[in-house]
Amino acid sequence: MSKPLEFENRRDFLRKLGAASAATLAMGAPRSFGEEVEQPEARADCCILLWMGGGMAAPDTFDPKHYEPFRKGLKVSDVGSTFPAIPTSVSGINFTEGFEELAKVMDRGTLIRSAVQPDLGHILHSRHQYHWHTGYVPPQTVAAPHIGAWMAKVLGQRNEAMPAFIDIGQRLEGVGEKEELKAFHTGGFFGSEFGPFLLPYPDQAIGAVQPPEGMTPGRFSNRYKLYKKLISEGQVGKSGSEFQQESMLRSMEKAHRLLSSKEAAAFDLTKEPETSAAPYGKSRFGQGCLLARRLAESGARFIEVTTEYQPFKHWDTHEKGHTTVKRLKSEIDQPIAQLIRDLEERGMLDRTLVVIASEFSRDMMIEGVPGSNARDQTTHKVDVISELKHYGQHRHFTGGTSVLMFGGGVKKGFQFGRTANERPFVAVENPLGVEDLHATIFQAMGISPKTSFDIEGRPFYATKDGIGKPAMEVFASI
Amino acid sequence: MSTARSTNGRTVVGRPTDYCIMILRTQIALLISVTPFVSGKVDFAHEILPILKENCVKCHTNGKYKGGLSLDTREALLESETVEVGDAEESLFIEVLTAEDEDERMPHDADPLPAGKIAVLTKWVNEGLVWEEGFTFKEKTWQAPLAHRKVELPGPEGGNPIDRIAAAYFKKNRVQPPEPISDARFLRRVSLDLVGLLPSKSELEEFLTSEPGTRREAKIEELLSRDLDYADHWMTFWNDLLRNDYAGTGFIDGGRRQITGWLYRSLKENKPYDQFVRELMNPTAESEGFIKGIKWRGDVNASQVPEIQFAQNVSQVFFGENMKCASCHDSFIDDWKLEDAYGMAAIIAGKPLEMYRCDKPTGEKMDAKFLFDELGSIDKSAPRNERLKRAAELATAPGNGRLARTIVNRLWARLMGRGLVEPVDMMSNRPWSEDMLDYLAWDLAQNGYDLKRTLAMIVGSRTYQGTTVIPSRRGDDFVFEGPIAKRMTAEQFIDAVWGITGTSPGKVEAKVERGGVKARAAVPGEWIWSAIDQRPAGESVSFTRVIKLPAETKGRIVITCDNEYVLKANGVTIGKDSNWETVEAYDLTKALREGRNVIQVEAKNLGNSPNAAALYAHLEFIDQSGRRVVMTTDAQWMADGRAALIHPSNGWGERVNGQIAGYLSEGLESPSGMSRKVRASLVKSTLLMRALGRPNREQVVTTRPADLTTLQALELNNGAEFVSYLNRGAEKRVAEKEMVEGLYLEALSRPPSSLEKQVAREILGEKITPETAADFLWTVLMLPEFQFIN
Repeated sequence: MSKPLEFENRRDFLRKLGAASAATLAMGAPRSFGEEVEQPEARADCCILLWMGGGMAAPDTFDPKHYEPFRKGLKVSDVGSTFPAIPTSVSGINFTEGFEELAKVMDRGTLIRSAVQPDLGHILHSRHQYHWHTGYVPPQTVAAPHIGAWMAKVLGQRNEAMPAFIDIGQRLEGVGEKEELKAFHTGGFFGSEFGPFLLPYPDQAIGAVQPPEGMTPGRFSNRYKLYKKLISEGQVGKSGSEFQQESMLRSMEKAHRLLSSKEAAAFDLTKEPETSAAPYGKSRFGQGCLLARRLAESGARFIEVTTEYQPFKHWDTHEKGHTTVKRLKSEIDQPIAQLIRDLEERGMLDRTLVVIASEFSRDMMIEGVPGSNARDQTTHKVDVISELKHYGQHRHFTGGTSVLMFGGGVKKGFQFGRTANERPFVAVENPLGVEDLHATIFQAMGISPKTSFDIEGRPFYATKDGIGKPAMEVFASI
Repeated sequence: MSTARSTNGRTVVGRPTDYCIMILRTQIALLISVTPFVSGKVDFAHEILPILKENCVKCHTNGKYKGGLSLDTREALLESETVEVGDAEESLFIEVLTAEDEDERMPHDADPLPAGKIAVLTKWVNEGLVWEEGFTFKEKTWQAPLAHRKVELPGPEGGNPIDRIAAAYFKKNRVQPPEPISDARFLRRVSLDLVGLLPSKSELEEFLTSEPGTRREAKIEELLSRDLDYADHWMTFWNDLLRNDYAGTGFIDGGRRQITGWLYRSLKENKPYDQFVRELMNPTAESEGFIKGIKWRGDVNASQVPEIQFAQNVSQVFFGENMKCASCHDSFIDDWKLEDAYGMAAIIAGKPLEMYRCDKPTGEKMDAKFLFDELGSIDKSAPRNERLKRAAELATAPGNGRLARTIVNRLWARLMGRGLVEPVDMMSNRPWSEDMLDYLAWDLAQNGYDLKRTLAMIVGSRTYQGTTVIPSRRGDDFVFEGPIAKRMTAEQFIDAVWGITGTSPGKVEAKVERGGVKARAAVPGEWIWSAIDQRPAGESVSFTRVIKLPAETKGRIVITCDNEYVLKANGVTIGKDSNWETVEAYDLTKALREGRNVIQVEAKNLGNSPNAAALYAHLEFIDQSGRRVVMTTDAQWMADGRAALIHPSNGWGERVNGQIAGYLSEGLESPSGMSRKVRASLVKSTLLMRALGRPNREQVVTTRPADLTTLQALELNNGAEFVSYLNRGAEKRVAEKEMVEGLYLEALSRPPSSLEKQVAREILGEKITPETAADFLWTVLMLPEFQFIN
């Protein structure tokens, strides 16, 4: 070093530096744009997003329309829903058959029936998912951060030993459109510190936070102890810049803390008593919900649990819509309801925002028969159903999507927005675009939709161009 | 149109958009505050600045300092002694605002300030006179020049121009030049910087025993002559910049094209940079991926259609100008206009482009116009390919110094840890040394845009060869004090780990041709067969070399032959090949025995008529005591029983010496010294690479994050991929003698201290097991000293 710094200065420097290294700052790293933004008072400390990847049809889930059971010769235009409506615990709000458990907890939540999305051309799911998760339509000139990364960046960790942003259930390798999925499962320009901690298999989550396979905890902590000793004996003082060492060692320390912390046990589903684990069932999504509850309890900031997006699988129903959705409902109904009950029982629901959402809705259409053109999803084709596999919501629909919210200060037993009773089932009351939906979620979390960070000298906002407006009607007064 | 984008006269603060102008002016990117929250404290930008601007700056800034009071900067205000920080009552600055006497009251000849504003100023003084760091009222007078400037080198004749400019700079800025680094540290630094690899043990040993006066110079030349290693390494840099990758968004439905083959070849041939840029801007089918951009399926925002991507990416990558703002609306942060972005976009568009402001059509059309249109115009009626050709000409025109300045600045930033201009994509910012930037840019343009020449000049300088520093002054006040340590890229780190653990994957995934490179550097040995060029087609010759070796000797051969060979050692067939443009290396150890050994090459000349034929081989042996013997093809080889003849020319060497040098640098004891290594830059990104910062490459990336994050640390603690490298490496190395010494030399290019050896022994235990070896590998690979290039 040519100019040894005074100890005071260096300490001071390091203090100011916070978690970022000097080199990062010198590179014009993202930082707050410093605009005068009043951050709203947070209603929730933790957000759990339950993601129905692939396009969950509102008429077959939370927004029942005219029901017609399957029969040969049924006209598509005559069917609104392929499930009959069922009442919920809130009079005037009906769900569809298969959501009996969720129906019981509707009195704790707000149902938004008027979420809308732009039509991004003939629709690639991952592109809409990118939009939903980042608030920006791809492609973008800079890597847009995931909504979870925003929370991690702006709000930080709730618990130092717990990653702020945890993503459960989505594989990024070995699935279709994996590159497109990777594009938004990211901290974006905030950097990987704020990116997702990926746990594709909930029952294997513990593996991500414990010493590597085959290494005893004793060996693991001994390795770290000797590592620190080696550094203190080493020549770093002479050969390495100290701030780099400190920054790197701080990260190592945090990682090590997590790997040997009591919080790590939260990742271990086998630690959950059988009685409280059983209601979540054995499906990957159910296990993911249980894991989310445990992680929320242990101080994660943002948790996403997905039914997993895979092209033409799960909610991406291009045929056999009715039967597929029936199965999916049986997989998610009980676990989600149980999650809400558990959070409530533990006194956490008020400060935890749970959001159930999907990239868009669906409408009736037949695919795979002459005359139907799946690529052309903007015009509606009338056809006659002859087989059960044609019976279902197969057409992408962006005009009216349901989003269910619990906790985090939202009203209990409340419905926001409405779709038309006759086709097209578009939002006819309080349409809520992606920016506004995000603004609403951010509002609950105490983040202004105008919050921005500087990237390449430009402001980049939590909602596109800072335009998102929260739907304040969904919140109970504080 | 002027090339410099001054923001003069646009400093009204208050609205968000204007605030970002000020931010740019003051280089706020270097500020340290990261909290977006507003406290109850007074806000300089929004509360104080408007008051000062409206009432004070006319008489007290920018050269006009009435009453001796300067408000240019906080420091100037403090020097005036009119402010008692923290105590408004004792501050003349506040007192004069409410003076009864009109002659004393400020502002002069104006109505008194309203009480609310006085209260804000009072609060400001009481709270400590908070000032936006780096902010000054002094007008920005500097404008980035477009033309080249020939710099008169200061100081005595001779020596590296960088050092001469740096010496004058250090003197002027009263900076103590950095201390020179040791040879070993230099080798590690320069090897990682130029070819992305750690020096091998044998390379280190040879380097430290080579001719002291010229060893660094010779090493630089050798590294730059290792064309494949060079290309492998710089693929990372250029893939980031040109957003090229082997998998990613857009490929799914043909919305994107790779330029991999073209890029790799351009790097290994060290294509002149102006030609490189022309081939990207006015491309062939092979290189068109860059300007084609990435097309996602479906409808795209008007500011991200491929034409606008062209405008943005060409401007950013080649000229360090940010057109992303101007793609949507006239920029708030510089003077670029919507029409500038669309003018560039119209170059590549099929027809004049309708301009969209914030995604809404304006009804106006824009014709093709080059970014720096003072360099020349583009015929709007010319067809697309002509317009692209013209744009490529203008980009590389002699009058366009920005092209060279931008790239030399990027190279400087890569090697020195920080650019001459920062951020590297804002080339209209002032460099800390105009002389350095202008000289390097001019030198590049004067010398055929030879990027390796620039690299050689930088790493050959004493300035580069100095100890790394922590800059004591940052932001606008940055003062260069010496190189700054750099974190290894994901690719450098993984290459190093693969090398140390012997776990390189078997297959290159990038479609690149890793043969047939030209090399300037000589390699030891001769090409043998015949002294004349013409040999009969189909001629076969058996070449042999006999050597006596002690027991337990390790051996390696590096070989190629025009046209084909079968290699045998003591009668055992070792390998064969029939492409003289690729060089092979083989492990001979298993075939060797104590005493007499025969290395035999059955060589054959192919073709239909007489043509040139030759053989090259390099043999290296290390016995148990560590004694090394090297022998190459020369007159001591026998050809069908007679002394082999040496070919007088070395036409083959030009094509393959780079590959040969690559193997030789690796050393035979290195696990990967036997085959051309697969490099991290040439395979698809993995979870580990992504965690370590390899970007998705959907956007241009010119700077990667420098710090190790917690998620990265987690991945390095228990990530399956990294753990598997450690475990496999430990299995391989567990029986190694002197493992501690060896690993330190390989990883850190230095032996361990005795204290470090003690700790190492503690980790390894009484008896080294694969587990303790893995733990030891981990501890060394996790040292900051390892992960940073110091």
